[in-house]
Amino acid sequence: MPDSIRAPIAMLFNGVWSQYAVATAPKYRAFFDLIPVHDLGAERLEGHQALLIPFQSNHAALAGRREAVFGFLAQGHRVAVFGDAADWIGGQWEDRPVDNSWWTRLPAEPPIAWTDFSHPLFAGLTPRQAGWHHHGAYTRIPAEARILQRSRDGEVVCWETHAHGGTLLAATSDPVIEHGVQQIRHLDHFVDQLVFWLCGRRPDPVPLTFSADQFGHAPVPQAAADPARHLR
Amino acid sequence: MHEGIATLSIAVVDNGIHGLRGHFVDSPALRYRFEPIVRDWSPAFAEDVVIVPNGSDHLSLYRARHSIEAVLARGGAVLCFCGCYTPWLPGTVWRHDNTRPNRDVRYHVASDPLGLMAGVDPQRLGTDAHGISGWWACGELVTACPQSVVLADTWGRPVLIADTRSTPGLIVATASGPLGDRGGAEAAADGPQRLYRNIIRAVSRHLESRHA
Repeated sequence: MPDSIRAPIAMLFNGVWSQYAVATAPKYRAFFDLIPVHDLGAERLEGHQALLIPFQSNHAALAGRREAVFGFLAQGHRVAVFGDAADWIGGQWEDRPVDNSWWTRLPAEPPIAWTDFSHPLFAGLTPRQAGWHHHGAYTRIPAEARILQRSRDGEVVCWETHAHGGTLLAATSDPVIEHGVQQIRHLDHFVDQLVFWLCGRRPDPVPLTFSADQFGHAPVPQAAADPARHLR
Repeated sequence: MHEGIATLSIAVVDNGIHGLRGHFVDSPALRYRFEPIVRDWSPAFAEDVVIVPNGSDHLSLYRARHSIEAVLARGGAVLCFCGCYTPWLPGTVWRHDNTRPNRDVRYHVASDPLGLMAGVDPQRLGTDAHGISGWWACGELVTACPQSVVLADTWGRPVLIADTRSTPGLIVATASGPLGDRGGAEAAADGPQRLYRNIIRAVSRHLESRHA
């Protein structure tokens, strides 16, 4: 890893507040480098172990830079894509109603009804930790893909493929966004496990916190990126 | 709602997130133009009203802050329904805070000279149809203009401000509480849709007074 890269995971950044809140939180800031979507390129991914593309990304802009993502995959890295309408990765997304109240109405029937717990991303998680709500379903996935999660209706929520060299995992859930929003307060388990799966290191097992000094500052110009790399 | 008033043209900052455009639907009174954020974005807003919806890019907004300031300097309105964690909005920034339990979130009106909360049940904003609280705003607004606080939460954290003092224009901001215009598809008359309509009404009055 080059000296200028201090974090193992590149997180694609659409400037969204909840993405920012997670990536700069004391618990996670050592794990993520934020890469603005319009700056995405092979050189920005170099030196990172994995790429995380969170929900609320700009997939139209991203699709135009897909070569960087597939080139990174070809090097054997892991890429995790959460939402929305990410047809450019080889699947077909369709919107589905979001069930945000299942835990009061149907606590025994989470919207993500089936998970393949033999996959290391879900190792050690309970069904409630592995699945909250989802925003859509994949109605088409690559032929060789492995299905990892399904909805109550049996539709595909999460899948992965090794067809591009590394591991491409896609899901219609939104762990980074919801963890940042903090209206669901038990996502530390999943996000910590996601970080571990992506880079082999685990965050401290403490609840997510924020500090006031994360907020209200001007972005750091790219030329002065490190050590304040989060806003370069 | 806007009898006798020309159609209001509004620019909506578009960060390319899925589904955004369905949250701002044209009507006879309101016409939305989506302003896509692109690399090296430097917008020149022709409209007197700019909406920054939830899920916007606050790095690009900071870089384009002079475009926002120009709208306000000519007496226009900027409505931010997102968590503005960079200082692009004059007088106000947002910061996150998860130290309070969502189940205890309640809202109360602090001051409302523009009538933004008229007919709005403060608890309808923060409680969903199943009685789950804390599902609207997150964190708090930090404002240099305390008189602008319209709505605060259980712990006195500002979650809605309306600022007519920091600039010649009107700034309305939520603590990331999403608002939008589904063209009447949302039936609840005393919740977020009513608040949004009240904000637009206040914007219209503000713009009229500027031309008076």
